[in-house]
Amino acid sequence: MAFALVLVACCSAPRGGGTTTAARGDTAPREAAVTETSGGAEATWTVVADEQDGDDTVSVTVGPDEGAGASPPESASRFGRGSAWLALGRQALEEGAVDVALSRAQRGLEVVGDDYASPMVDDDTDLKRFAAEDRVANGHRRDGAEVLLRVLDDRLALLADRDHLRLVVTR
Amino acid sequence: MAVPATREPKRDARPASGASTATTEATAGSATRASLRGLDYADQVQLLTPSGGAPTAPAATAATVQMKGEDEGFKKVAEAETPLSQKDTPDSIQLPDEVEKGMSEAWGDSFPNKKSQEQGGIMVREKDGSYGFVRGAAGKSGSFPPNYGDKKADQEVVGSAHTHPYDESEGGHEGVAFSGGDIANLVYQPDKLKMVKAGETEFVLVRTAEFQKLVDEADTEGKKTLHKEIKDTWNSAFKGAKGDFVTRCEIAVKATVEKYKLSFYKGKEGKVDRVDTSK
Repeated sequence: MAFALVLVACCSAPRGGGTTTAARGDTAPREAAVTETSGGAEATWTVVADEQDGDDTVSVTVGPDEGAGASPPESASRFGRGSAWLALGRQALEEGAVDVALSRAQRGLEVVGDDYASPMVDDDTDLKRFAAEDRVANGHRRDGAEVLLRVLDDRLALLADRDHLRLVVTR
Repeated sequence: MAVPATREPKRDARPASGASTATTEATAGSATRASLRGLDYADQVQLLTPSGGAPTAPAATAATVQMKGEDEGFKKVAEAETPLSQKDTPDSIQLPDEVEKGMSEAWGDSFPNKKSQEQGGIMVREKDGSYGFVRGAAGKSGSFPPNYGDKKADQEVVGSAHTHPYDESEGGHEGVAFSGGDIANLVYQPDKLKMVKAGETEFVLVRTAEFQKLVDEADTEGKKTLHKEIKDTWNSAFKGAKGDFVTRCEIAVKATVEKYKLSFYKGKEGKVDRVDTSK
């Protein structure tokens, strides 16, 4: 699977003091995202994650939700990338490319990793992931892909809740 | 081919404006999340324990129903000031009728549009010794946030309960017991006992003195390690088990409970019996 990533994080210093830009990826970074900062009371950082698989590309912009800090947490990039893989996976499933959807869901789960939920929340997504793998093993590949994407969606929601993240835009 | 914006994943899209504090923004349906947001683990636990001061008392729209804990097994666990040693945990527990009723309703709500969605609530002990069940907001397909934030200042959290629904696309399983996460979270959660309803079959976990000792002896990093080890134990046992999905899950629970000296119960219609996890 071809995989290209450009991640650009632009964050304000406390109360809009300037911007910092970080980029990483296994291909040359694209043009940096433009980030506006202001001196208002709300955090104003954004993190942009681009993910590509074959001819499909998704760009996700993550911003702060209520209670977020002045700069993006480390998890903002994982949230953005995972959300991009979720969109790519759903795209594949809609087009009937079940194996591609499965692969993209797995990629998203890898990107999000194991650190996504508050321990105060009863997280049963491991169980659902095993259930999805069972469905695939028993020949119900479309169900398996659908459930695995739902697991990814659940984990992204838990991460967003825990770390005060929200999607600003996906395209 | 670019993926059109119309397919963007749905997230909570609450506006970034309207800043509010952790203790004032709680609303019915998001009380736990709202009241705990931004707090580290220790602060979350502090907030939820009776000695932690008056917690958020949101304007809960969820129904609170009264019940009497008449069963000796239930009362023994619920009214113990400190967790019972494993050998002293009761052989059987009859959950109060209102818990059973509340969780039966929760199960009935667990398949909106034929898709799984976890539901649940908390069991609380009132100042006068009676018990209440407070239904929480719906969870997601694979998670439930216990609504500890709905506890009032003069109530004590006895435990939490949630459903384990599996819709057709997930295999339609019933009788799926605790996940590794459910068990591991007892490191942080205040539950004396935790219940899962998975169709007719119901499961209960009881916190023990032996388990509590592990928690108490762990510092912040130690708790994180213990939490991870419990989940890893469950996952390893599940992957190594034979049988169908439900059977492997129960084998994983037994292995985890045995290792961490919790007490595990199984039954139906509110009556659960202790499971011998050594076999």
